[in-house]
Amino acid sequence: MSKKILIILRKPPHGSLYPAEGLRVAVAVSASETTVASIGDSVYAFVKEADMTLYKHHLDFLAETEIPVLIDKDALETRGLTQEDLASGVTVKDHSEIIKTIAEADATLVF
Amino acid sequence: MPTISFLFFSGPYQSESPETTIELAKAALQKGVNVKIFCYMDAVNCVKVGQKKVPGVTNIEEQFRELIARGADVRLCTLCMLVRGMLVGGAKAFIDGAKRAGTPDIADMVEESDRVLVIS
Repeated sequence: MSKKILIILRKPPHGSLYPAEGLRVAVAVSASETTVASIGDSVYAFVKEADMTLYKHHLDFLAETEIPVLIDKDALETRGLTQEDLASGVTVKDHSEIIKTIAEADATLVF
Repeated sequence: MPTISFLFFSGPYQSESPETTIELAKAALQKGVNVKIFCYMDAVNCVKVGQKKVPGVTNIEEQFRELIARGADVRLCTLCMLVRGMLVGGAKAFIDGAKRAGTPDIADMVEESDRVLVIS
C-alpha cells in the first residue's frame, strides 16, 4: 500500500518559487495518496488574480486527478481573504482539519 | 536496515543547512542507517566541483564526496541543474557518484524510507 504524502506549502508565490515547486512535486508523487495543504503566505498562490504561469498546469492536473488542494481557513482570514477570492479547484478547510491531515500523513514534504 | 531520506533545499555557504544535512547524514550512516539525499533547487550547488577551500569553512563539496564514499545515495534534480547552468558545455559540473534525477525520484524515496526529513 502506498504511503500518504502531504505537500505543505507555506511560502508566498511572490519572491519565491517554493509554491510552484511544491505543486510540481505533488504532481510527481501523485501515484501515491497525495494531498496538498496551503498555509501561511502560500495561500496567495491560489488567489484568482495571481500570476499562475509557473504552476497553473500543475493545479489543473491535480484537479483532474482529484488530488485535494486544501487551503487553511485561518491563513485566509488572517489575510482578509475568503473562498470567493480563490481560484476554482481548491477547498478551504478549518485549521484543525489541516492539523489532522498532517497527523495522518506518512510523509510530510514542506515547501 | 532502516532508511532515512533528506529532501534538501539549500545552497552552500549561505546558511548552516548544508552542514546540518551532512552531520545528520553522517550520524545516520554511522549507526548503519541507509541514507538518501535529494538535492532540490539551490541544493544542487552543494555538489558542484571546484569549490574553493577556505580555512575555517566547511568545504561542502568534500563533505558530499565523503558521504557518497560512505554509501549515501545522492540524487540531483536535473531541471534544477539545467536552469542553474550546470549542464552546459559537456564538462561534468557535479561530483562523481551523485546521480541525475527527477521529481519522481522523490516519490520513490518516500516509499523506500522509514523517515523523510525536509531541510530548507
